[in-house]
Amino acid sequence: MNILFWNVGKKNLESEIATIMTSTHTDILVLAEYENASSNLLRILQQRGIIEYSALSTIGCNRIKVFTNSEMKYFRPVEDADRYSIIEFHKPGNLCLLMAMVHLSSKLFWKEDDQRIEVSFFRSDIERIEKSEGHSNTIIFGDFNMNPFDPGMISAEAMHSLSCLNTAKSVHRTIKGRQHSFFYNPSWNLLGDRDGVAGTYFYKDSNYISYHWNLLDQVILRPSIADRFDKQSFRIVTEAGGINLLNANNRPALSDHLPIFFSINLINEESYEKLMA
Amino acid sequence: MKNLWPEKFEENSNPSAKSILEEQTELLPKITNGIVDAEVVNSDDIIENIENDFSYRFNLIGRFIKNYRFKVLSFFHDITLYPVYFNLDEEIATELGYKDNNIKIQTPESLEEFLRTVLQSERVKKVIGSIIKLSK
Repeated sequence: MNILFWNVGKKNLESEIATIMTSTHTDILVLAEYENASSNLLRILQQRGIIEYSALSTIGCNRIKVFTNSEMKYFRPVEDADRYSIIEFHKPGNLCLLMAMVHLSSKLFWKEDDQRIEVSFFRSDIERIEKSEGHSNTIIFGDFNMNPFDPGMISAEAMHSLSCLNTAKSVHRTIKGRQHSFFYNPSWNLLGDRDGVAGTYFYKDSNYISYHWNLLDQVILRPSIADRFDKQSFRIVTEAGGINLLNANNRPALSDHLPIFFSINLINEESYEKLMA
Repeated sequence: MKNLWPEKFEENSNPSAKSILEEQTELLPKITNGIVDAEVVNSDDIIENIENDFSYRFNLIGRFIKNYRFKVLSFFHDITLYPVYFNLDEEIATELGYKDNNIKIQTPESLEEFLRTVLQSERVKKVIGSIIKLSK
């Protein structure tokens, strides 16, 4: 399953989105700050002869729009709030997956502590849902508006997401008698400029400490399903289908964010063996 | 032994936010033919910057879409019931003209009016409408 997330910054980028999602063979496209009707993008795709995508309904979360080439019947809305949408994907022969897609509050308006507290509400929502669904096959992705090293991503009361899968596989740690479960955050691998850009969002402020490049768009997932995550596939998209998403200064050109792309294998072993036989 | 307690106690007659919303949860299924429910649930959210003893959230539920939930608001207060601190869905807060979505309600009178405007907001109507549509 190929997934692309992009905060399009309220820009009309249907043509570019259509090119990028088709050239990357995206199965699930998630957009934040896409303010046009979903039919606009579907129309562009149809004009290009691509008819297999449809728009999923995120009932209560208008910040997130979801498009997919999988059948709608495999998706079930689980819970929405203003800043996130949680859906279940369950296709026969595949792992049942809880997908939480986020566009959390911005650093421009919220202090770090506020972000940490707010995301702790979200974490407890996730855990409540995992308990009621009876599994924790959970992946969370989108615009967290935090870097992987920010307290809201690291703190045990917040997302508690670690850079090391081995460590995260210990599932939880106990602090003063209370257990705090881990997430694994492969997004740490995208920090720095070894593979091109050093983040997904560029912001230079006038303070002494300014990261300039920030990795606000991330993926985190429960360690129990992390082995299904294709780390090699996970990247910040700077070019796709002949479209360059960077300007001459190597900064985001189309939206203020760059998209992220990743693959996750959801096929269950028995189904995979049958498929390969 | 000397009795240091007051002679009598009077029950706090102010309606709690929880009781007002619980009344509304009984009405909603009746007006949506049982398709949309609402609930007030205890919230064990961690809140560090506000003193509170009682915290809840208020959700809309789509019974026929496998108990899909939409969070309208959460709220908390201490033992005295007021003030009540609300964390409201951001879009509802914007629609109702609030600067941010953390709202403090001081009195029972203003509480009922506040909840009326929330439940009658376009956002809530739209979500309920979507739940009804998807439930068919």
